[in-house]
Amino acid sequence: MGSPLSFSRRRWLSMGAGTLAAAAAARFAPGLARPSLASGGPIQDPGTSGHVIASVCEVCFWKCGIRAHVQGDRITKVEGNPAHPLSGGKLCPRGTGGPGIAHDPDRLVKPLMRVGDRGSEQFRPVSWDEALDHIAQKLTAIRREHGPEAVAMFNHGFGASWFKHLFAAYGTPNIAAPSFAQCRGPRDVGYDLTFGAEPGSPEVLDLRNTRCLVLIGSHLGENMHNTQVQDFAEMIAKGGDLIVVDPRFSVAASKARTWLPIRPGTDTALLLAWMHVILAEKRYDRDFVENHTFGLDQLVAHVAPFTPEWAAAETGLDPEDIRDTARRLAAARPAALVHPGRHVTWYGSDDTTRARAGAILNALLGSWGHRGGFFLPNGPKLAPYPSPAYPEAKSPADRLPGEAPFALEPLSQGLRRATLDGKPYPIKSWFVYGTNLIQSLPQREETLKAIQALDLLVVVDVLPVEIAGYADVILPEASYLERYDDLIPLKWHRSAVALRQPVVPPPGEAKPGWWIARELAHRMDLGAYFPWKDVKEYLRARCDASKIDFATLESEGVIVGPSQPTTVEDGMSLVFATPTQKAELYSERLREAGFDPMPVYKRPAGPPPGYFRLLYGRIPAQTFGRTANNRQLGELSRGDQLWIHEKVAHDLGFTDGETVVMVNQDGVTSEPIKVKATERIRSDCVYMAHGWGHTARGLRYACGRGADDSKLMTRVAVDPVMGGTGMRVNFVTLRKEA
Amino acid sequence: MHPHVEMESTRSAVLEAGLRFWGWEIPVYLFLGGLVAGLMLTVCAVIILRGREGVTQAMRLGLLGAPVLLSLGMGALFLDLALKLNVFRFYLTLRPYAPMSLGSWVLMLVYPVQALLVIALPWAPLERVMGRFPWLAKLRAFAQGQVDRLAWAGLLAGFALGIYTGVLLSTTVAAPLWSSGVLGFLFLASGLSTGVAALMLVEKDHASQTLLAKADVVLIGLELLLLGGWIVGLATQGPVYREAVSVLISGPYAPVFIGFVIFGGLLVPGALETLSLQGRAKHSRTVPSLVLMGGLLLRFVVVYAGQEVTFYQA
Amino acid sequence: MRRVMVVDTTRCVGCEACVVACKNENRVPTGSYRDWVVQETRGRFPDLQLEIRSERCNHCSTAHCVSNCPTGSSHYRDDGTVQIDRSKCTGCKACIASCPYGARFVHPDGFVDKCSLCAHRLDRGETTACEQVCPTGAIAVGDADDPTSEVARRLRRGSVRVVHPEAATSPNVYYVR
Repeated sequence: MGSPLSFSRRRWLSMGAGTLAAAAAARFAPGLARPSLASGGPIQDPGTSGHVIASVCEVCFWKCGIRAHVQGDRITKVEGNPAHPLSGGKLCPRGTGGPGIAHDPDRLVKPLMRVGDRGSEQFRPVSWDEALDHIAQKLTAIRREHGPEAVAMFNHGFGASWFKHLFAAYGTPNIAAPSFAQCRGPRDVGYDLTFGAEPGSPEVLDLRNTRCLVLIGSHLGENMHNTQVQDFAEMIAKGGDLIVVDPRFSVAASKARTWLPIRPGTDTALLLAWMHVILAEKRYDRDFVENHTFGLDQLVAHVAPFTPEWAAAETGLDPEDIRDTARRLAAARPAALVHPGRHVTWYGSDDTTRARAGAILNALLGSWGHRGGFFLPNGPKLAPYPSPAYPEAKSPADRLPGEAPFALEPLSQGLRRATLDGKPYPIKSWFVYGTNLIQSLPQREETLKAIQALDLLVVVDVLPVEIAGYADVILPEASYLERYDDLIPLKWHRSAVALRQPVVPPPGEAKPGWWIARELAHRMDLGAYFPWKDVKEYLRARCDASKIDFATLESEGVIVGPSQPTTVEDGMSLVFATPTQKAELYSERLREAGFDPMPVYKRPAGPPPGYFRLLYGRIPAQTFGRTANNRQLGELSRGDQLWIHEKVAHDLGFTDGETVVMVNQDGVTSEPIKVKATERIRSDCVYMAHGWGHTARGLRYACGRGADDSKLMTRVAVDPVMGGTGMRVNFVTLRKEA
Repeated sequence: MHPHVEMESTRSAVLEAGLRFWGWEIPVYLFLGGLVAGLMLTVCAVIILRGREGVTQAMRLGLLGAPVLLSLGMGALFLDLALKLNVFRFYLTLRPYAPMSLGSWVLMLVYPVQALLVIALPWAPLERVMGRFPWLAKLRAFAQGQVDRLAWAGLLAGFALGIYTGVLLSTTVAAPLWSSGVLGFLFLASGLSTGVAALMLVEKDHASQTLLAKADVVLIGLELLLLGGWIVGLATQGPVYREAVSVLISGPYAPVFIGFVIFGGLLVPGALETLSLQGRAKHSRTVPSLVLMGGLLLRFVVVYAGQEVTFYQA
Repeated sequence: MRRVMVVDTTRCVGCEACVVACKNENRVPTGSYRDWVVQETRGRFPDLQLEIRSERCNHCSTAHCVSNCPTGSSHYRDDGTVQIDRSKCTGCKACIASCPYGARFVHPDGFVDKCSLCAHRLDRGETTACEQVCPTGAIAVGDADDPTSEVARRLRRGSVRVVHPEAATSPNVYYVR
């Protein structure tokens, strides 16, 4: 790695031996032989700059363009790519800590096949041929005996594209990402029902120009999505009005003009009261509402009883604060934005409702398609690689008839259920790419039971995470810093296409996903879907067909498209992909399916006496549990403590920093966790960061560190509209560590 | 009414583990350096006030042992250096604002003064050696002619040696406990006291013993005054300083500081010494041993307790 | 030319990208920090204030670490920043004892290390690693004597503070709101 070892010895030598030695020293450590400046000794150049390769980050799923510096086969540092619209040269701590993943000593480096019981973490290393042949044989047999639909594929991450293509070619419809039903689903459905479009990822929020922003729980800053936090900071610097609704005094709350410390689970009441004020006082955006919405009269009648006083009783807030904030929102229209949220699977039946309530408010404020609100860009026009049509597949097994009618994607927990009860048809195999289902799905016992019922479990990952410990076959993938992926499109103010390319070779025998998918395809008679010999042939063909210069992409990492109109102010016209072709304040589709056509508030069940609602969130230094083993990021603030109100902790006899365990309503006990006694949270809830408490022994740094919140999610509340699993319905009591 | 403050830092874990930068090597050097300074000051004062005839056998032994003790102390300092290969850098420059730089040069001056004084004073074992090395005899002749000047040089060097360590601590800024102008004088007084005590351990001459005992009582009294001034001065300087002092007088270091430094190292030997001067108790080795123990522990406590509370360790 | 850093605490979200970027850029050893982030919360629920600061060596104009260094290793550069000449450092740690901000640490190779304000980058016309990475633009480095610079602009705000002013070392890292 070239740390400045024995620097003083080298300098001494070079001084003593003259120019020849100085030249030799310069070769070993470039920059060390730099001449000194003015007063004082030489300038230390740590020599971390090296050969630069542009690529795309994937520590989280924002996909910022990066520039990685390489010396030999080590990545010395990763910076943001100034040319990429999402990073603009800046980067979050996790992307900056990328080398910690590439050079993680616990990386999977060989294909492994299980020798002990599922979960015993006992494997033997095998050759790629043996592993791939085994998988192909089993999958072929399953297709023959049960049909291709008997295979469920779970995935997260852009690298899954090859495998989604493979399994669509294989013929299964059961391709699911937990990011839908366990994360963004309710808001995507809520916005789709209202505006006919989803907020997107990255969310198409013109935050730099927002004049009043409402965050419902969204803890921007701790939720550190690069571009969005950049825009958020600019908004605040420009004097934008920030209103934060959160039971916890988050970093975002600390920057707000008003922090509303709301009772957990009552956000919809607040949103309805805001609608009430804005409509009763006629503060809505006339132009947008009169020309582009459907159902105003019904909505006015519907929210009549939802006064600030009514909402104050439900939320624990002051009615004048509710009025005041509603008026401030309205005063900033149309550059007034209720953030759609990102992870919104909180309380079940409230989730799509709450998302729709936010969407409706945005419609009343007129921010859809307006500067400072939602901008509506087109993505880059990219030609697909020619492929034979996929075979006709059955309906997915994740839902029974009538269940979750508005889901936009298969439900991960539904596929798990089908694995267990064989309805509507049996699932015999799981293929898992880049998602640690043990921590990403709630109700862990169900997941473990389902796994035991499988004929074949294949896990493709870069690290030996918990789900890998249950696999029959583990395939080691090259990390995002070591592989090509498909062209990465960006739908943004100026859309772009970026290239992910290898910065360093993968460790051991780890292989990129495109190679694994291709090898499997050719072993299962699906070679027609992967006719190209290597990924560069594929990428060049796509680039040529899309009139993109591949060489430019390789050297710059990204090609940015021209400016485009994205708002009404730019001359864009508004189009809504809804039945009424307008923004639907009143949803006939929901009514027909037996749901409330407009958001209705249901009071949530509170914690039993002695219990606290368990809330969870993120810290900027980590991405879920994916980065817990990254030793570089481990040096940052870990946030692996349990937030509890100072006085509550005191009354229970706990001191700040003391170790406790949580026991949930079903008697499940957590790992030990340190108490953070703080004023920054309400007394009726506790809060912790998700992603700690790993048990996989192969994660030598992460194993045993902190506590796992997902273990305590034994109860979920399912949203009947789209099947999302609300997870903030678990309550915990605290005990001193045994 | 204190405002409620919660502090968190990226390096909370590191801060909590303790950021001690100086270990046992420093108090050991401070003790030995102070002792040698006290020795030199005492012997040189005797030479100036009473002439070379007033120098007893014990004092000559002290002069002989001084460079050995000093070298041990400097050895401890050397062990403390994290980059020992660069130790010669101390002697390529003189930084007048850096007590450590001044101190390292003073240390160099002390050796030749001590050596010349040892040679200058009459000493039977030395006579025997003289015959074998003629250059030694020449040096001796030179030294004997300069005894008064050497004594003054020794007085100055001893004073500098005795006071600079306290000054060094007080010009650092990180530890509120050391931010006191009294520290220099406290270490000087303590150094004198331990130097006198060391001489008392080997002194056989009764008259000299009595003189040393009287000097020691005065020095103990001075030390107690200076300790009081140090603590009271800090306690009135502000909240961080009060917190630093509390570690010493009511925190984890209190038992050692109050029990072994104040009582065991100052009050008890002071009382015993007074009694023996009044003839009500016999002169024994107990008193100087207690003083030496107290001197060593004082330095340990000052150095370690000082690092417990820093400005940034909130 | 007076090289200073001005941190806008209203922009800072405490993400610690500055910490990792510095770690990688300057090969900072595990367990040591050239820069770090402090979160200071004041008040009682629900009347709370949170200030977040990215801290490091303050490159003081009255640097006791420089005056107390016995070998001249710690010195001022012509731009006013405080630097360490590793070839002269003996690891005596007088400078660590002289820093009221705890900015220095002993490197495993024996010398004392701290933030160098990325002098090697400034010399090639780039900015510090922490300013470059900071997604919120909280960190600005520049010449306070240039009235058109971002740092000069920030210093004209009324809320300029330094860390531990009672230490009276004339720090050159400022915090504004």
